[in-house]
Amino acid sequence: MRDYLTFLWRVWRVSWQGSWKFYAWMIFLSVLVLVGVNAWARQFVQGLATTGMTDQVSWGAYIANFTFLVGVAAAAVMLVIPAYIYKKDYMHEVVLFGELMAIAAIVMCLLFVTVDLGHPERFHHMIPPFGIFNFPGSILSWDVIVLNGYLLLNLHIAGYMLYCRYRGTAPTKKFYIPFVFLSIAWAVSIHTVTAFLYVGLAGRAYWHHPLVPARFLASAFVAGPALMILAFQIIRRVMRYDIGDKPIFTMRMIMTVLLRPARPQRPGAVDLDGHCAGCHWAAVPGHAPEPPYRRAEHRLRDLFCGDLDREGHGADHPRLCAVAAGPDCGIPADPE
Amino acid sequence: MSDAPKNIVSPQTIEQVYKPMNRRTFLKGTAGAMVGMAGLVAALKPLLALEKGEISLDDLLQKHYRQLSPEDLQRIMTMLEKRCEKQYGVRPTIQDLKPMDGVQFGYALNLTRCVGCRKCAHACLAENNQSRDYDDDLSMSYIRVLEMNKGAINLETSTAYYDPELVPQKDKYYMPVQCHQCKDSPCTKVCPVQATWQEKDGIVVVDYNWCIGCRYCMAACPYDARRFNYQKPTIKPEAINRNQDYLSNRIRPKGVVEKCTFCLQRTRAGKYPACLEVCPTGARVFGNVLDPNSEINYILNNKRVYILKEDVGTLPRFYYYFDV
Amino acid sequence: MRMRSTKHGVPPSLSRACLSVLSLVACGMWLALAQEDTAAKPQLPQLPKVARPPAAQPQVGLATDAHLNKTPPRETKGLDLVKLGWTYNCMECHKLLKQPRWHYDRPMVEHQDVKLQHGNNRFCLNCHHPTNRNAFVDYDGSEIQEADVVLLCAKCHGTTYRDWQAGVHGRQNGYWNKEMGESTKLRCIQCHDPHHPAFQPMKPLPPLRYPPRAAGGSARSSGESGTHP
Repeated sequence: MRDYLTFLWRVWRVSWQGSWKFYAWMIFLSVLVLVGVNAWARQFVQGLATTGMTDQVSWGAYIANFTFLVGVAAAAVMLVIPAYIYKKDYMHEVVLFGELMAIAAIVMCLLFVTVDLGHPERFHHMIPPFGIFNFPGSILSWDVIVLNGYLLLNLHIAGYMLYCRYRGTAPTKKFYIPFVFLSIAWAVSIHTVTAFLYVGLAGRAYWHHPLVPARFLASAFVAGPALMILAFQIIRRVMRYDIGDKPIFTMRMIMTVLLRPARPQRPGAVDLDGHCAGCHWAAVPGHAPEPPYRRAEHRLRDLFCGDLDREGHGADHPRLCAVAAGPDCGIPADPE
Repeated sequence: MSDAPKNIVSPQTIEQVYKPMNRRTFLKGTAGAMVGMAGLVAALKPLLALEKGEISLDDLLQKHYRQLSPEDLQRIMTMLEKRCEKQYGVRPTIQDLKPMDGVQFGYALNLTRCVGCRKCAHACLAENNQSRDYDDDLSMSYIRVLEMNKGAINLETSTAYYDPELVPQKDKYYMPVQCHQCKDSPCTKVCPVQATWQEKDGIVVVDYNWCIGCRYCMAACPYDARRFNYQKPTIKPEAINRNQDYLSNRIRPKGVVEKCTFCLQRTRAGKYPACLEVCPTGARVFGNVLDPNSEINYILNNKRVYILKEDVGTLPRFYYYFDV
Repeated sequence: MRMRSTKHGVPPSLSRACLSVLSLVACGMWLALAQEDTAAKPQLPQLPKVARPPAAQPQVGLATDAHLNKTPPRETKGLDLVKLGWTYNCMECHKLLKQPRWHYDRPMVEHQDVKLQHGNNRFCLNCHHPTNRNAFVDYDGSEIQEADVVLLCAKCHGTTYRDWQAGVHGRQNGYWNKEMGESTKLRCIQCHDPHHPAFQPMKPLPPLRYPPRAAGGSARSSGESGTHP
């Protein structure tokens, strides 16, 4: 125990040590954080009107960012699976980065939700016994559970691995392998549950589709490794941590495979959505029998501007919508 | 790059990176921490502008409406009355009308009769104390009157911003949309804290003192029936309706969602809702669905009733009908 | 229908007799005509001696709802007397006038502003009683009192009348729960101008401005253009 506390203390200390470049970077980030905190404090006093966003954009922008980050967090399994299921040794060198990235992404998710709340000080209303947790009624409560569960899982795995490394001992398998496999399933669940946040809304025809979770996962498993590749490239250039080409090639291959179901669908294409366009889509209420890319404009407006506000005002912000929706929603940004 | 990196350059033990603390690093660290704290305090300075009593311990500890004892509720309502008097200079009467036995409300709207004059939307403001930036600010009104092209019920070509010299326009018809008080309401299902629920008489209400403002219910609502208080409500004292109810038209705090309650401060006292009272053409019909002789039942039995977005499966208590 | 039979002012036989008497004295001795008319209907109310101030519009809805604008949609210039509560006595003039020979005879200037736009219903005496102008006329020539104007309209608009009886057509104000309070039900001509029953187009109240609330917040001024750019 004492050893563990020493470990934590040293981690804390190490995280403050570095060259002047490190300090410059951290100060820059701190300033950004403080600007954000300042903006949030203003928003807390004046209300969300500070952002100047309309109903649809406000909710949409936050939830889209939230979803994107959930996707990034879930994509950590794209490093875990090659490392632990396919036993690629070279992935073990980087799998920790994926897990740490997941932790950071989940923390950002939770912060995104917090800054989006009209009454963040009433957050305890969600935590029994102070409040009421609407479980299993509200999908949002499922999301709270899976996100926090995933956070704990990754904290445990990453923390344990780091601790073993610190002690110079080999990690005991029974302390982390079950959690690793649990986290693989759990990663799928966080993004699926997040997708159900949308799918469950029958009033939003564009989202109300059974294949949205699959689409979410596919695009997240592209977006996440993409971000990891960027991170690896930076890490191996500025840090004393050597990452070979192999992990990057693996990431690249995963992306190439998953781009197929994740990308915007094309007419006549027999993929995840080409298939659904022909059969299932028509059966879902509110969906036209034609494939959705033809109605991309309407659907875009639907996405962020609501059903009752379709007289073209959504068209003012198509780019905003597209950007906010990100790769996760699988918007056909460029229908051919 | 080698195929199997051994991470020769990477730190293998903590001693390679960990430098124990000495006097110099301690001082440096303290100084850095001081600067950081100062920055944080400066960043949080806007919080000082919070009005005194805006977030009180009482508010934070207040229980959900349905868990409150009658005495507590009475105390809270008196406190809210006082607060309103302090902030807006008007002392309202806040009551807590309970649903009546054997009553479930239903609302019907005659699309043949509606002329799109928007009187209902403005009466909603006069009755329900919504926040207004200026006198005619309809943005928080619970009713959106949509101008539709004749020939179909197509929301995609409708507009709520129409402003011709005279209504009704020849090739248009008008469809006011407000909360449908769905029997299978998506908004109440998605609320993570059960701050919104359906009462016995079918009215979906919000506990403004419990809502955390996540706005998921707004995303879930197919009818655009919910409004969010992006800021502290602004309303002129002379425009305040003093007949208020805890669950409906009392002046809302900022950062909560509000919605149409069929004017439950009126309807639970037996009166018609405000939008019906002002409708010049009598297009609106309101009543108790459980009463076989009620007007609303006459409509349901004798008219061609249309349910907006029936395919969503929300089972609304709000019906549109035509008579030709 | 039950109501109508109890409200029979004059039996049809008497009405027909009256008509034949009138046709006999065609050369127009005003005094004698007036006397005969009075003799036929001694129950006519007293004629007003001075012009009355216009009566107030009957209250629509509850007095406590002062914050709600409850004006009915009827906007007519000509027949404000009806809107104002029917305080005039038509027979004040019409007892002096002989019965018009043609349906569209309007020799005097009084009703020139009445533009009858009531579909196929083109003749005054389809509704107005030929001899007692204070009343309306039923199929059989009997009188329908002004208070029962709904029965007059029901002659043609049967389905609407049925809806009205059920409380579904037209305005109801006050209490939906009849045990807790009264409700007022407006009669046809309180909303519809009988000479032009279709509602006049009206000016809509100010629209929702774009963008809705959150955009701009309190910084937005009311002078901004109301339409979407």
